[in-house]
Order: sequence, then structure tokens, then C-alpha cells
Amino acid sequence: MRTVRSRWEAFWFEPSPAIGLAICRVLFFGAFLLYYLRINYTELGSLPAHAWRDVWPFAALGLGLPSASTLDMLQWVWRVSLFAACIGVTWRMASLVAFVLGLYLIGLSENVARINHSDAIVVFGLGVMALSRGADTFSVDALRGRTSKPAPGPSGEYTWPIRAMWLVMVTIYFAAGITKLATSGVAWVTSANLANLLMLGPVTRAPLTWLGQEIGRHAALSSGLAALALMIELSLPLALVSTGARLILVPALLIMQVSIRALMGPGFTEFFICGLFWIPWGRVAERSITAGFRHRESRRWRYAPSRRTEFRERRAAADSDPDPRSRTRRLESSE
Amino acid sequence: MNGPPSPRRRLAINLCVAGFVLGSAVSLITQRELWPFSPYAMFAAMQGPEQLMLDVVGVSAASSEEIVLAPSPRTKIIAGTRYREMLNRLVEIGSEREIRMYLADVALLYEHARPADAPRLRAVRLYKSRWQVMPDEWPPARRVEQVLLTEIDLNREQ
Repeated sequence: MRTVRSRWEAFWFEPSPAIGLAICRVLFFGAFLLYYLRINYTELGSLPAHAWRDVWPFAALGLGLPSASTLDMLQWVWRVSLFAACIGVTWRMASLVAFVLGLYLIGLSENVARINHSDAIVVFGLGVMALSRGADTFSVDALRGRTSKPAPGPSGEYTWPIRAMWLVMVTIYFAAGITKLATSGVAWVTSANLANLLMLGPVTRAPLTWLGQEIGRHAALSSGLAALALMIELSLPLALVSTGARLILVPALLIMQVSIRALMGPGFTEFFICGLFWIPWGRVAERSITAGFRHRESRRWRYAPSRRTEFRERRAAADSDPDPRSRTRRLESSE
Repeated sequence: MNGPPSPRRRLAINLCVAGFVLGSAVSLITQRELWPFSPYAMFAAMQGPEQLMLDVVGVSAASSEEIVLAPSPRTKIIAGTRYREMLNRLVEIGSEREIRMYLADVALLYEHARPADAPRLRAVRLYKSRWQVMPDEWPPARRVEQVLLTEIDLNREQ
């Protein structure tokens, strides 16, 4: 029992550098700002009445469609809050407004005709970020000294939001796999289902290539791809608990999403953006900093031959240090 | 503010995680949409060899050529499968008058966004088409039937 609890605690609250979450914040809010700038929510005001069918939170709260001018104002406030959250200015307020207005505006569009399955991940992401301390570093607030002083050290506060986004993504794909089996059974793989979907792709959607139609003509190949897709979806929970599984399943997921876009049409852009949380940005940033010091060092060697031996010795000592933070400090001190 | 999360904060985070897992599990087990929770029934239903489609097209005033007036998923919220579902509901539930009003709105939107070199429209039509997969031919999907459901003459509507 203690092992399960300690593993649970380690999964969510293992200390990690603030820069990893900060990079996720910039990419997440920046990408979604650009994504939502291209669409206009006032479009909802001109739809025929029968297209509206309440989703439960709107029905329960009696929320209807506001006027076009209100929608326009709300969407501009939302865009501003996404920008503020991206650069990390008045973080607490900006991230909260981005979440509340995102929940409302994205939810509003779900009342039209049918649910768009790629939208909910944005709402969950905004919620996670609003609860997080994503602007402790690499932000305007940090520059103005409005967050912790001095620069924050590694903490579980910078781990759990990233892991929460992993959980959201894993849940979505796993649910999609289970629902395929619950709705269609193994026939989803063994029948001509995917072959038909691929051949009808350009009719119902807009795939990037005609390759899907060609693959669809070969029943065995289509069934093989269907089995592979289902296997990836159902085994994705392993990515939460095993680094090895993560290294295989996450790239496989990316390839699957790219293939869906190329062969069948749907973009699922929101999933691609949230997929950025799988990249260990903290480690990437630390390695970049270390590489930067190395580069500066090697330039100095060229101009100060007498110090070359000293630098080599210090660098060898730094290289043998297993802790990347300590390694960075040693390289800094060798300057 | 630095340091590990406090016990109260850990509890709050754990409760949020539990709420998410519970909501997702209920939606998955009951196979019901409980937005923002969902069973994510993406491509879950079996696709047969036939597909029915509704298409809104404009008729060029100059050449009588038909121009597809489907909204772009890049710029519109109501596009792709959501747009198709909306058209299906319009045809199933909507009256003839509502369908004509919708087609007139589509024509108006086209006219507002029309580049200078794009043709003016003289009519808008709503078609129902039946497509069939044909693995031995290229392209392997063909329209085998097309029925005109409604047409509005824009000169008369104005």
C-alpha cells in the first residue's frame, strides 16, 4: 500500500525545473491563441434555430445563445487573456479568465449540431494551467519580481500539471479505443470498415493525400492499420507508468495522428498542440544551456591556450557529474 | 511560495484528478456525452460501402457552373462533420421555409466574402447524393445518385 502511495506521489509531485512548465505555458497559450484567432464565435448567432441542441451544463444553467455583440466582446477578452497567460503577465487572473471564457465559448459551440471531440482537451488544458504555477519563471511576472524570489528551484508544482495533461490525453485515446470495441466489436478491425472510411475520405472530409483511397482498396492492409490504431489507443495507459512504453507509444501516437490527417482528413489540431506536453522541455532547456556554456568555453580555448589544460580538467570533472544542474553550475564556475 | 506543494494543495490536486477520472469513467461506461466528458466515439460506428451526403452549391450567374459552398474547417466553427450534421437536422426537422431561409443566408455570406474575380450567384441548390465505394475503379468512390431537394432563385428572393 505504501509503495502504491509513494509511486503515486512520485508520479505527480516528483520535483522538476520550473522552466519545463513555463515552456509548456508559452507553447500551449501561444498556439491556442493563434488557433482561435482564425475563427469567429459571432458565426454562432446566424445559425438556424433547429441546429441548437443543449449540452447538459447549458441546459442545467439555462444558458442560451447571447447576442453577436456580446459574443464578439467575450471572444476578444478571451484572446487577450490567452495572450496575457502566454507571456505570463498577471498570471493568476489571466489564466483564470482564459479558463472560464474558454469553458463558456468552447462549450457554446458544442451546443450546435453535435459535439466536437477535439475541443474538450483545450478546456481541460486551460483548467490545469489555471491551477498551476506556470508563470514562476520565463514570464513578465517573474521579470517584475511578482513571483517567487530568487529563481524557483525544482518542485512538484512544476510536475503535476504536465502529468495531468498526460492523463487527459491517455484517457481520451483509451476511451476512443474502448468505445470502438463497445460500438462495433472486433468487426471494427476485421471487416471492411476502415477500408470504406479511407475510400470515402475525400467525399466526407478533406484528406491531404489520395493515398488513403489507394490503401482502402486493399482490405488486408486497411485491417492491419485498424488493428495497429486500436492497439496504440488501448495500450497508451502504459505510457503513464513506463518510460520505455512512453518512448514507443508517444511517437506512434504522433505518426497515427499525422496519418489520420493525411489519409482520412480530420486535423485534430488541438491534440497536436497538447502533445507538446510529452516533450521533456525542462531537460531540453538544461541541455541547451549546458551546450551554450560549452560553446563559449571552446571559443575561449582558442584565444587563451595557456588555460586550455585547466579548462579541459574542469570540463572532464563536470562531464562526470551525473546531476545536470550541478553539471551546469560547474561549467558556469569554470568560466 | 517555493518548495513542494503543501498537503492542502496536494489534496486539492488529487481531488481534481479524481473528479476527472470519475467523470471520464461515467461517460465511458454509460457511453453518453457528458460534456466536457465524452466516450470519444470518433470513427467508432461501422462505415458501410455507401454514404449519403447533403451538399449546398451555388449556381454561377455567368456560366451556370455549380460552386460548392461548404464552410472551410480552417475558418469556421460549424464545418466538417458538425456542418454535415447541421444540414441533416435542417432537412429532417426544418420546414421548407427554414431550408430556403438557410440557403438565402448562405448566398448572402458568399456574396459578402466574394473576391472580385469570383462569380456572382443566380441560385443556390441543396442536393442529396448517394456515394458508393468501388474498390476496383479509380477513384474508388463514386456518386451514384443525386437528387435536388430545394433550389432558390436569388433574383426572385431579392
